[in-house]
Amino acid sequence: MIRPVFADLAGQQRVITTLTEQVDQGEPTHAWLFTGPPGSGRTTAARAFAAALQCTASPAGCGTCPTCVSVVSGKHPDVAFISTEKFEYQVRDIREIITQAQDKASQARWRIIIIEDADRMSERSGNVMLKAIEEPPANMIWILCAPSPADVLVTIRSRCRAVNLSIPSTEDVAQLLVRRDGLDAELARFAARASQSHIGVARLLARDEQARIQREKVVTLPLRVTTLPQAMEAAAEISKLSAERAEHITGADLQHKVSELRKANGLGEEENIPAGLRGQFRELEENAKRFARRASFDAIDRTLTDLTTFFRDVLSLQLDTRVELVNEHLREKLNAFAAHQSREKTLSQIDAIDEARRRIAANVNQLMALEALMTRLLQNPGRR
Amino acid sequence: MARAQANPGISWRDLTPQPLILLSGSEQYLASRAFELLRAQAASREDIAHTRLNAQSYEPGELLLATSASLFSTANLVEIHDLATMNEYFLKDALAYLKSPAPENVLIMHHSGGARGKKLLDAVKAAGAVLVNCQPVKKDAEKIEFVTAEFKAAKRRITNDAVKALVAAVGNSLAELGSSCSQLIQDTTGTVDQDVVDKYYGGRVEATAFKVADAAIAGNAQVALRTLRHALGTGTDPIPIVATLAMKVRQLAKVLGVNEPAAVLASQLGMAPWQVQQAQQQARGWKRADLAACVETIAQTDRMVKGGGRSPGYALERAILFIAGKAPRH
Ligand SMILES: [Zn+2]
Repeated sequence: MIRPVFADLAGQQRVITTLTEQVDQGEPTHAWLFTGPPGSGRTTAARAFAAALQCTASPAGCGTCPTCVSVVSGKHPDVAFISTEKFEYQVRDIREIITQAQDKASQARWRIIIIEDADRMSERSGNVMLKAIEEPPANMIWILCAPSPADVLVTIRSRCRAVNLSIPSTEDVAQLLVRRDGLDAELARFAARASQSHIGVARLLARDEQARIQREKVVTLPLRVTTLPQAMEAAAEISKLSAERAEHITGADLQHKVSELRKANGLGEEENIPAGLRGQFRELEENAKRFARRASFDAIDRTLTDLTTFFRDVLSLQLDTRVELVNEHLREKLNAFAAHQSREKTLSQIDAIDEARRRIAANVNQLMALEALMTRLLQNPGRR
Repeated sequence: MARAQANPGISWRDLTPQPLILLSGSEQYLASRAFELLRAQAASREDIAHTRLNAQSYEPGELLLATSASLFSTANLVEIHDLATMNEYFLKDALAYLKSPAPENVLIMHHSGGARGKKLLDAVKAAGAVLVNCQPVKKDAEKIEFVTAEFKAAKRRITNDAVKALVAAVGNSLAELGSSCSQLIQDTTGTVDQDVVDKYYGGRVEATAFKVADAAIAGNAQVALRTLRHALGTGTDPIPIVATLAMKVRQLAKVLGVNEPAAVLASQLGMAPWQVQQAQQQARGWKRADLAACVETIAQTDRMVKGGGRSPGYALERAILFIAGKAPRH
């Protein structure tokens, strides 16, 4: 029987067994590395594990006692969740975290620090982190999370116990959405498929009609964009949309943080910032800019992932694999599209999407990368 | 005593359709903006027919045909270019038309200067033509005014320092100043300040970049390479050159084979009408598949100049040769 605190880990039976054993045996390893593709639930797993470790009920991991509830909601004083809005942790950030780790647990058995994006450590900050993991204070447990073991320094990896979450099946994800979020079964299945089992994205898709419309627009681009001028326009539109989304997020966020910082320093909204504090405000702005870049990158990345599903479906049809399509609802149109091009062409289109992703990551002008992509997705670029 | 200054005329920006309009002065760029503005205004009306005449290669009777009502139109927009080199036929027909110009027609003529056609110019003025100032813009103050007006028309802000920096960098040619304004308006958001201008046009990159791009898409590899090497040899940053190449190819790709009037395309694409027209001209003879290949090459090049290749100069040369190689042979 699964302990209630682990109930939301869709399709992770193997992981749940390991973690439950660790909890029951009472002497958990002090450094963990939770890995799994985006949306597989690594942070949820880390959270549930932390709650079960602190839970005093028997058997531990009840999910309902005040300890479990406060850990899961991120309010427990001895369980810290850490993530960065920057592209990378600076050495300074890691030192701060380590200082935090020196505090004694205030009420619970363990002091637990969960780093949700351990993949964002440079080699330098990673080496600082390594020291802390090598010589942990008593009762201290580190849980690092990253998409894959390869995203973390080898030296860190080798000192952590690995927990690999697998991609849950669409059925697992759909069931979770129905059970936990009370969503309609059919919608949940569509969302699980369309998100390719990314739990967070699936939930958003199932809940938010706007998000579904947006995804549909992206996925059907190859059907609607058939000429060079249209391809150029589509690239401009994707680029603009993601920039707007990013600016929207950052603008509001920055404003909020600036006014918090003003309050903290007893400054009115209109008051001039004294010279001594300007550095702090400037840092806020710089962080916001970095964050905007990341948000825009994430938005583009999601778009490219959605686009890929179209061509993977086309390839499935061309190879007659008989598997369920990600975009099952577009089957007829996908069939027609697939009949008009070779498999080689489909593969080259999937390559083009990967190439665009690499280019954007390598700081190629976003619009240029997207224009090149959209022209390469055309079935017949010479078409009038 | 100073000689009385002749009336230079109104600004092209204030131009509205009138029965007789005379664009006076040798600044071709201002004249082209005036023509475009009227074309754009006319494009919103379905009952107006549009004809373009050249006074130098004019055939007898063309003006009469262009100015009469037809089955589909009640009014006419007639552009007449190159008045300064007009032939006898045109002079004769124009003088005849001026005796009773039709109030519903718009006749817009460009005379770039010189003594030729003085008789006609006097008659045009006597018939009450609106005079539009197309004199060369020489003073920095006028160029600053031009940039400010461009940004105001696009409802965008630019700081005074940025205006000055832009004029200093690319103010030698008004056409380049104009296209730089629209590049900044399109490529950036928020207030344009000096940092932005420096990034784009620092070290006079821009004039060179346009020359390189124009030559490449015209298939003139030699000129493009020579200009590029000179620029890189004098320390020009390659990244804005790639950006300009991309912008040019983008404009061509957006208009190639699209059968819409320039004014309609301009509003659809967020380009200035004169840019659309220039792009349409430059796109002539290009094949869509070739242009698509250039779009891909440019993305490759941007990656190479940003550290993905052994030498930015080599990456740019490769791109230029590729584009020029795809260009149609005229
Ligand atoms: Zn509990």
